[in-house]
Order: sequence, then structure tokens, then C-alpha cells
Amino acid sequence: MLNLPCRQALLAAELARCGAAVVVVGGTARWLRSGAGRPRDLDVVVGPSSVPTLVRALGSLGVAARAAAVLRCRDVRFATGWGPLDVFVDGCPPSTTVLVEGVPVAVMVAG
Amino acid sequence: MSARTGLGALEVAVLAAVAEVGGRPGAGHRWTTHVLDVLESEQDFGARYAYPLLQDLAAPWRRHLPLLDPSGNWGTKHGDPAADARYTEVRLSEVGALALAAERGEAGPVPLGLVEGSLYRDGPVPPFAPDRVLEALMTGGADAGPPVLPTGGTVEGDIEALLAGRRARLRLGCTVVVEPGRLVLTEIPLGVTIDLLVEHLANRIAVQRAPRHTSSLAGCDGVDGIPGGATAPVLDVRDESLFGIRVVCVLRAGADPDDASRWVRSVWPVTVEVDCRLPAPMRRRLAAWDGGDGSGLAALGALL
Repeated sequence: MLNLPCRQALLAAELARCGAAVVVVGGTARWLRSGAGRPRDLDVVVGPSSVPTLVRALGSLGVAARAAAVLRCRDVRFATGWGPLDVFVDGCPPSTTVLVEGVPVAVMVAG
Repeated sequence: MSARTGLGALEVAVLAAVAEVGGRPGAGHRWTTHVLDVLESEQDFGARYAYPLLQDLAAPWRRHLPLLDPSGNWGTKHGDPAADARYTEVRLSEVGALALAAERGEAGPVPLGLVEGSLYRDGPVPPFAPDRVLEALMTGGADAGPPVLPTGGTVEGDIEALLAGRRARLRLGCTVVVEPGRLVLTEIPLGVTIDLLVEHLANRIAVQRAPRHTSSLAGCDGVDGIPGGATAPVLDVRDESLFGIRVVCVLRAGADPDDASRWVRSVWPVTVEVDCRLPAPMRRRLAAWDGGDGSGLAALGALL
């Protein structure tokens, strides 16, 4: 069977490649740090000032998003070709860097 | 949930409302707005809630055994919305009429809950093949086979754990057929629309059009990786669906069909994952099902 947990990591790499300043949290962060668990989607935290960059990154992945709506709702789900993406607008937690596809991805440190 | 059919109270109320306006099998279709008026006046169930429920009960891409027989535009597998309720009509399907009769005690219980599960409404219980469920109940068998989706497609995962009543993550996927120079998707996972499928395939192709790094994640976890970072082995995607589903992925020259198939299946929602759990082990669910005098089961068998 396909190793579908990779799908979330690849999405995180695509976002980072497109310049989105996000921190991966939740199940995918745990999987990236330790290989444990099986995330179903990608959860990321983004600071309010970085939302426009994230929206541009999503646009380059073919996902329509509006910065004003993301800032208004703060917790927003998007459908992407790599699976669902949950975005949380908040202060970014402490993170470490994990290389995915050669791209540095910010991943929340274990709490 | 009703013990006689496995339907929810609102689903039964919908069937009763359709019957009340005369929408029986063999009779003409009835205006949907009349059904919605009955649901509003008798159940305080407004049209904005009720109409989507009617659409679910009528859609053969949602249920193995639709309970309603629709007329007009009730939406499509592509994801097109239904027409306004003023422009659609409906009546009970044969199965819907049987379910209502079972609810009213005019026929024995029918195992719609065992067949349909709750996944079609985002619940945790997957559907099973109607004929396998029926056969198991009629013969006292303990096995109704693996989950089978009304949309077709593949179901992978720890089926054994699922049938034993444990939580299991299932991977629902498109059926992928190899043709010279292309892959063709002919069946889709439950809850996925053709337009969504094509949109995300096109997005992934666009993102991975240029040569890029080879995936550093290939082989992680000791199983097959996804060639997510390499150039997509698919050049283009076309929706050629007319009566059935036919989404064509045109392969890059020299692309290996197996590699391409793996890439296509890495695209969401060509495959989707759902967490499922049966309310009890399947063997026990089948054994505990009370068929009453068996007339409902026999009537359902005659309809399949």
C-alpha cells in the first residue's frame, strides 16, 4: 500500500518551497519528528502577518484562499491535492527544522 | 436509529412525508416543495436542512439502495448542485416504500442499516454489499464480506480489525485502469466528486510539471514512498465521463504505468482515508439482527 502519511509531509514541503512561513503541528509534526502515528491531514500554525504569504503559496498550489477570510475565521480548512490542510492563525510555537524533499520545514518541537 | 430498518428518525420522517403527498412507486412524481412543506409543518424540519437530506436519500452515488426516486436535476456525481426544490419532483423508490412499510409494521424488518452503514453521512460505519448482507442473514452466515462502496472503487486497510469491531483506518480509492499511454479512473471513493478529482489532479500536475528533486521520502516507514517531488508522470487530465466515470490521465512519454499509477493514487482525493468502526463485530451484528417474520428480508431480496 502507498505510504500516504508522506502526503502531509509533501504538502508541508510544497508550502515551505512556496515561501509560506508556517509551523507544522499536530499529528504530522509528530510523524515528522519520530515517524509515529498516522496523520490524516496537515495542521499548520501561521502568524497573522504571514497570512498573505500563505495565501499566495496556496494559490500557487491551485488552492483558492483569501487573506481577509483566513484572518477573520482564524481556523480554516482547505482541500488540496495532498489532502486536507487545517490552518490556525496564532502565534507560532517553538519549532525545529526537518528537511523534506531537501526543503527546510518548520516543525513544532515536542511539548 | 430504528431497529426495523436502521434508518434515522429524520430519514423515516422524509419517507413518510413523500408518502403523504402521494409519492408512491408507480404513482407519478410529486413536487419536492410539497414534501418540504409537510416536513416543515409536521416535523419543524426546514427546507434548508431537509432538501440536502432528500438529495442524499435519492443519490445512487451515496447509497447502494436509494430510498427516493427523483425526477429533474438532483445533482450529479460531478458535484453539480441540485436545482431549486421548486423545479424537482420525487417519489419513494421500491426500497423506500418497503422501508416505510417496515417502519409501520406492514412488513418485516429490512436491514438497510447493515447495508448502508453511516459513512454516506460522514459516520464511522462503512457500507456492505446488499446481496452479501442479505445472503448472510437468510442463511445464518457470519460473513458479509468486506465493505463495498456504492460508488465502486477500492477499499484497503485492516479489514479484519474492522470486522472484529475494532477501529480501523480505511483507504478508499479510485479504480485505475491501464490503457496504452494513459490511466483511466473509472470508479471513485464515496463522498468524492468527479470535478474535485479532476481539479486536484490538474493542480498536482501543474505543480509537478517542471523537473524537481527526487522524493527524499520514498521508502520511509519501510514501505512504498510517494514520488511527490519528482516530475509528475502524468501530462494532462481530461474528464471524458458521459454515462459512467472516465477520467483520463495522459502519461508522459516513456512513463512507467505502475509508477504513474502510484503517483495518481498519491493525489488526494484519488485516495482518501477514513476512520471506521462498526458498532459491534460484524458476526455479532448479523447474528443479532431480528428479521421478524422474514417478510421484509424476502421483499428486499426480490428487489435486488
